[in-house]
Amino acid sequence: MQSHHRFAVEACARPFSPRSRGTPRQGAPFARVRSAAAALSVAFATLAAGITSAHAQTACDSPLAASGAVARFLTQATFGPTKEDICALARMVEREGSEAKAFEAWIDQQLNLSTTPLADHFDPDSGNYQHSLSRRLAWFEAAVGAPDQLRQRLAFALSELFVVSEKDGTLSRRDGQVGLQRYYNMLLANAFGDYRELIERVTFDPVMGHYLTVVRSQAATGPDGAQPDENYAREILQLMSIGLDLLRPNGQPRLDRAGNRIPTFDQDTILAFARAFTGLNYDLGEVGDNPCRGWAGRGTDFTRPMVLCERFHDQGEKRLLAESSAAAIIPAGQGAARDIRDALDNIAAHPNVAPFIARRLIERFVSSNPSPAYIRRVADAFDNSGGKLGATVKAVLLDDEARSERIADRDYAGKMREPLLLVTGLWRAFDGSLEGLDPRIARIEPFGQSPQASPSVFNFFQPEYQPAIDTSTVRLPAYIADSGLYAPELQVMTELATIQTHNDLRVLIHGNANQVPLMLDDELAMLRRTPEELVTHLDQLLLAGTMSEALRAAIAKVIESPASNSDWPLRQRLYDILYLIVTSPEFAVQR
Amino acid sequence: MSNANFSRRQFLSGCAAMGAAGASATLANLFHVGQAVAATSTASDYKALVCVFLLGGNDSFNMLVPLGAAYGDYASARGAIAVPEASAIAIDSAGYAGRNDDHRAFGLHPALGAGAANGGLSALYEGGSMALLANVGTLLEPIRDADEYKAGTSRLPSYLFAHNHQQLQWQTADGSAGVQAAAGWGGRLAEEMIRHNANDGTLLPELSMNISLAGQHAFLGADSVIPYAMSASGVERLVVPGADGGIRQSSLRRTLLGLLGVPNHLMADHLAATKQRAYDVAEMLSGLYDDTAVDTTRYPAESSLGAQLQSVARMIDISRNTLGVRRQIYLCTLGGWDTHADQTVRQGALLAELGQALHGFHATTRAMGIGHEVTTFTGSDFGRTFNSNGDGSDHGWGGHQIIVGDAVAGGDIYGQVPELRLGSALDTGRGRFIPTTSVDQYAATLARWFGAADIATVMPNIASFASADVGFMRG
Repeated sequence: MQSHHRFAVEACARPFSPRSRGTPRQGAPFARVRSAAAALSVAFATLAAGITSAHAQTACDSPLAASGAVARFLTQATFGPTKEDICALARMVEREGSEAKAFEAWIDQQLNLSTTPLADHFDPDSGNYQHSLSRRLAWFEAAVGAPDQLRQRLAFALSELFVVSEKDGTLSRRDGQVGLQRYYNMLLANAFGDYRELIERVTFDPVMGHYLTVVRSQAATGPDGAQPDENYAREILQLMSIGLDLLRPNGQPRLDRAGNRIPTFDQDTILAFARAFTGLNYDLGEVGDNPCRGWAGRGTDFTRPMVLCERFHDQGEKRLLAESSAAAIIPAGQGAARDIRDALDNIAAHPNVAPFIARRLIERFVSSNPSPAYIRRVADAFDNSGGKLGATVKAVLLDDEARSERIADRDYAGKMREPLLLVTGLWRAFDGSLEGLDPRIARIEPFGQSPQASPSVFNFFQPEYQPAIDTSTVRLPAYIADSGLYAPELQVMTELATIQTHNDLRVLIHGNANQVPLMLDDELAMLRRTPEELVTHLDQLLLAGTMSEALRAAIAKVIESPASNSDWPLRQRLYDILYLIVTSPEFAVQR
Repeated sequence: MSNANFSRRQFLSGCAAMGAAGASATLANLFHVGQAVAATSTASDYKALVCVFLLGGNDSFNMLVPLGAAYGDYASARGAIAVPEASAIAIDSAGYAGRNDDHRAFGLHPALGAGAANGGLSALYEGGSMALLANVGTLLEPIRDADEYKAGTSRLPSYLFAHNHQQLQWQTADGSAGVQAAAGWGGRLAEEMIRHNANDGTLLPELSMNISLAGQHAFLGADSVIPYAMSASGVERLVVPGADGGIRQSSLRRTLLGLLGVPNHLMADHLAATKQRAYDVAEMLSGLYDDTAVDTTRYPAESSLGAQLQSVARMIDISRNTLGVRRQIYLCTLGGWDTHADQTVRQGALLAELGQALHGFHATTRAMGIGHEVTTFTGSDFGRTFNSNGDGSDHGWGGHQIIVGDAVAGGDIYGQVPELRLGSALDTGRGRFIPTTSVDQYAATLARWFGAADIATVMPNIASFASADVGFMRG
């Protein structure tokens, strides 16, 4: 490699120099970005044990040589490790004396951080599509920059469980986009709290009310007349709480004597819940105003919780889930508020909820194929905390099955990286700029994924998705061999999507000409002086130390190519190395 | 297998191994090969099945509306979502051996009518190129009536009324309860055709016989059939940084393709194989695709389904004329049918889009001279409750489907329209009618036309039903 001198002038000042947050920006949206960023700086500074604080950077060595365990944990728990976070958590490991203690301390710290809501970038004068882009930009800003990473990550997982989507015609419009973001902020605010509290907020949320059409569902007009809308009743049971089969505490289906699965509900149960959920209306009035206002009209409101109109509520007795430890029979004449509360109590106290939610959260954070014992331990954490999602996700992340390197080495371990995390991970690893994100935001839809934009309430992909994977050469534990290997995210990783996503990642990394939105000075310096250290550094930062020999060899080919500097400039070589890593099949897996 | 085919396969595998460096050479030669094959093969023996799956559950009781004596029960059960009798387009159902003379007059939803921009489906129906199959749905065995259903003695598909499972049942229909991933019947049909060597196209190692314009669905896959998922907007090629032909680009391309072949992790390997396939097909097809024109004026504007079907038409053109393929199965989807609310507006718009897209696509196939060779048919999660929920309908079971093509014995209603009255014999509650024809029978009828020799292999549960041919296909 003969042509490095030319770049020596640009050598960066100091490894891990924090990106200047005060870079002059132009235009109204950036002004808001700047103020949000300023707020973040304050949050950083006030963080006592400072995982992302400024002094962490000075204490870090370059290049990264931390244990892969730290980066691996951060890959599971955040939108991707930053250099600062890796360094800070590695120091916590030293201080606490063990990874387990440090990770627990990190989680506790995260559980106590205040919420960073998505920022309001909406320009009221702009159109529907621009509103969608503003919402997406706010999401990325928080995913990439907010200090409360665990909460952000959990809210994202919850947005895939309690799904509302801009693919709905009404929600795609301006008011709908603003409503979607408010809904997301509601998930953020309640992410660590009670499951029972959360489903009540979801049930009363007008965005959900519209999306699953429970709003203005009304009592039957007669035995053969119009009946209550069954939509929300069915989906809250099937997708958001108990699922279709009765479960054992370890998440495996309970079987009857004939060996068949046992349904959690039948059509009569759905009808009963549908009747309990009648009478919800948009809040179109002033405080204390008539909650039935606008019932027969088309007026909507996506800003305030829905209100209850008794006149259209079904006041009869309802027979709900008998397996629940809360009352299954709602007596007649209680009124809508009490009926809905009782119905949600009945759902939340069903024995399926703990293993169901445990499995869903494990799938989003750690593994597509958790063992029954792992599900059981997380379900216990859910139950023992009284249904606290914060305690549950802590159990997800600290479990032996999540932490064991031996398990992580297995060639079915972990999960496909959630598509959006391919991009957030890149941005966080290299302190990508929000100005750089803004013009590219419309093209950030890896494998078709964009926040709150799934094609239906069934999310982007289904937990039961089983691709045709040949597992005959691998020794699988019984719980996988019996049911087959699940890989939900692979459902969207089709031929078409692999090419589109590959090309979009190329554009993100290479940018236009020299306007690459990533901060790569440290890496460029390493490539110039100590290329072997660069490979280790990128392995830690992007792959938590799991880089394959094949990928190493591929990177070496770029570094060692005899091409002249004009044919293949050093800076381009660095971009190309990142490109090879980020588009590689192994980067698509989180193990 | 003829020598010409054998050498073509050798040639194409050679090209694939050569990689992208020889891409342009591949394309040029492919045209050459295609012309050679077209000159020697019997191009008339081409057939395609095009499934248009209506995601969410089409309320087909508003697509085919009872008129005359039966309209009163219809109107009272449907309330605000009823299609006004006067607006329905009366169709000739003289051939329909319905229940009795009181229940054999029907009309189509007005959005499917001749007033539509390009003619609409009612004209196709009257012209004999479209048939309706009534009250078809997921079944493991026939169920006589609601009493038998409620007695709990019949074997039932798992999780009736749940979107995801009923889509799976519809698309697999293999007689199992449908809990685990299974082969789709489109996939099994492809396997059957390949087994009998009836598809030259399978000799193209890169291009699957089964092509999805709508991502990953169970319908097209089987043990030995991996469907190819492509975009309605064309074939996108992988872009590698660097100047074309330069050392940087060629080195990177070689390196990144090389990485796809190194085993790493079961899921990563699956992704790598998908990407390799995507790369190979895109290199093979992109030039061909871009050079193939389709008349776009026949299709509804801004329509996802219209774009998918135009893409299907282009692919059929390439496959048949240049690649010499003889059998293909396509999947398109149109979402939004889960009309629990605001049904009148939403379903009306969807039916208009569906009708115009199907009409446009049929016109295209005729213009291509293959109106008899392409059969398009609909499927959907389920029918919906005959009873309304105020301004929409909820998840049901049996429903009607549309079949379009010049090989269709059109202008008729097949199967059995249930007595459209709440509480009638087939009503399991709120007008969730028990299907009177199974998806297996529907599929078997299409498979026989497609040329499947062994229907029981394609539809393993077909023996549970009275007939393997519902009669809506000619010849």
